[in-house]
Amino acid sequence: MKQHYLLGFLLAAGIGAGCQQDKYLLELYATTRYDVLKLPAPAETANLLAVAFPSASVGYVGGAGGVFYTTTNGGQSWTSRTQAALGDLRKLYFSSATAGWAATSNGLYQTTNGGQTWQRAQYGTAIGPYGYIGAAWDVRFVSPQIGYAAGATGDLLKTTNGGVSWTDQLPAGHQRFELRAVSFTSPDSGQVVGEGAHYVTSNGGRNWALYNVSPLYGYDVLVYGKARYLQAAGPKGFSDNSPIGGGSGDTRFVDNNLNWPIYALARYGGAGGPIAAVGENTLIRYDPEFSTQPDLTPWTYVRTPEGTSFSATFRGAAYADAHTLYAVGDQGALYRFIN
Amino acid sequence: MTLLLHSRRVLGAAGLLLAASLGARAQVSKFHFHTGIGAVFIKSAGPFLTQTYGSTNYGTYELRTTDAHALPFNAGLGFDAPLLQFGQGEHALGVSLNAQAGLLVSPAAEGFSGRVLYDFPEYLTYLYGAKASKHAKHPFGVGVGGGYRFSHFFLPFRAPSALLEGVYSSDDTDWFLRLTADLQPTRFYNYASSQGAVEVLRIREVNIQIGRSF
Repeated sequence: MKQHYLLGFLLAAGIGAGCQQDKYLLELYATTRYDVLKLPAPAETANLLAVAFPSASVGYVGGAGGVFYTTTNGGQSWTSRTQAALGDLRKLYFSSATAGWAATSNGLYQTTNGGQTWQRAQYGTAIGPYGYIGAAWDVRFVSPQIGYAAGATGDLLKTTNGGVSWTDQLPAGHQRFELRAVSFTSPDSGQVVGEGAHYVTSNGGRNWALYNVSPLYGYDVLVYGKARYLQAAGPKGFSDNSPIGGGSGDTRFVDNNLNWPIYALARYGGAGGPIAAVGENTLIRYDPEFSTQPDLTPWTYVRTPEGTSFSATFRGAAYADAHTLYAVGDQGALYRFIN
Repeated sequence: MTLLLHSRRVLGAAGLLLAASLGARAQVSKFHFHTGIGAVFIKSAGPFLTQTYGSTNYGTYELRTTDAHALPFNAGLGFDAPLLQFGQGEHALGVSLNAQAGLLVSPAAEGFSGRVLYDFPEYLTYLYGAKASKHAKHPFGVGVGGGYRFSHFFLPFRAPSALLEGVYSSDDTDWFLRLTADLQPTRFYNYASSQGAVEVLRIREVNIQIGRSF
């Protein structure tokens, strides 16, 4: 009889255990929730190049043909302040909700009223300004007074008076490259990248070390931490590098080794803040927990919540807060990624 | 009278034959061969590499959905053993241990058709009548069982499974018709950092098989 009970118990336990379902995990994906936003007509298909969010709610996007829009409610609605005379707005830098700079195909512009009006920046000498700056690709400030800008004609511009005047840092006769982006961690220490060129200074621009990195085309650069910088480039894509001269073996790529062209880098806050890179069909972020090659790189290729790729070419990106990243791109692409 | 006596002799002989025949309805062998066809219900929705970049194995991923019924043609071997007998061997609690392989066929289940599915369905069983034990005398029998289907598709997994079978025993062979089915679908997940576990594949298998002892 005991055997009957035992077998009955085993039968019941077996059937009962069958009701508890196992969970089989196939793959790990770094993903992010996101919203696809739209600018109002006629800019809904404009090629967008730049975005800046000086606060979580106030933001700006710029693009080809002087397209410039602002939001005060975190991207829910957008107001046009487009001015064709600005040219293509390539980079935006805002130090407050209303004060900022735009590097455009027509020059370097400053606004103090959220883009309602712009003043074009000029070259300057000790005796005063002497002419407008031409096409520019990037502008960044490391303090209220000190800023750097990259000019399309190879100018490497610096201001020490809050942008009243700018001076070229490269000596006359110096080999000129098309420069696309600047990144400084202090008034004296920074890097510049462009067409096959990578400049590094550690003395506020008095001297620049040139590293020719052809055939790479550097679209953006971001110095982070004490000893590393990120480069967004084409055609090789994203790379995380030790300082130039620090050895060739310390370069990390994205975890899936996929090197779509990467066009922009974004960072929120200081050390330890989130960092992202965007480009063709690509969003990359620092997420070692979900890296498919955690022993090699913490940088992960991020997908949609369904595991699919983002089907957009992103040209610019900016954090609104530590959890919200905006990216803009071709054909009116305007995405809000929420982590 | 002669005819009646003859008839009684014939009936008596027939009765002896029948009794002898009934006496041979016991489980003939614990081992069997079986083959059959089934249905595998597949539902998937997950990323699929649609475009590679350069010479890498990576590229863009698009969402691909599949909702299809595949037919597994399968065959295998089994071992049915009574562990506890009662009712003079007409009832038995036991085990049915099986191993089989099936080929999935479905034009609608892209990515799944043509794959081999290895199954090891193992059951605790209750059998009544034929094949219950070597002492059973009924020519027909039925059986039910519950257990697990241990499987290997593209990865090993297990699914709770139930068994129902009907048995006919001839003098030297047990024939059975067996229906097995997953009690619930097996779900496979991707773990996405923003979503947690996201179901990408669901599989449920049903089989009908004919088998005979050897």
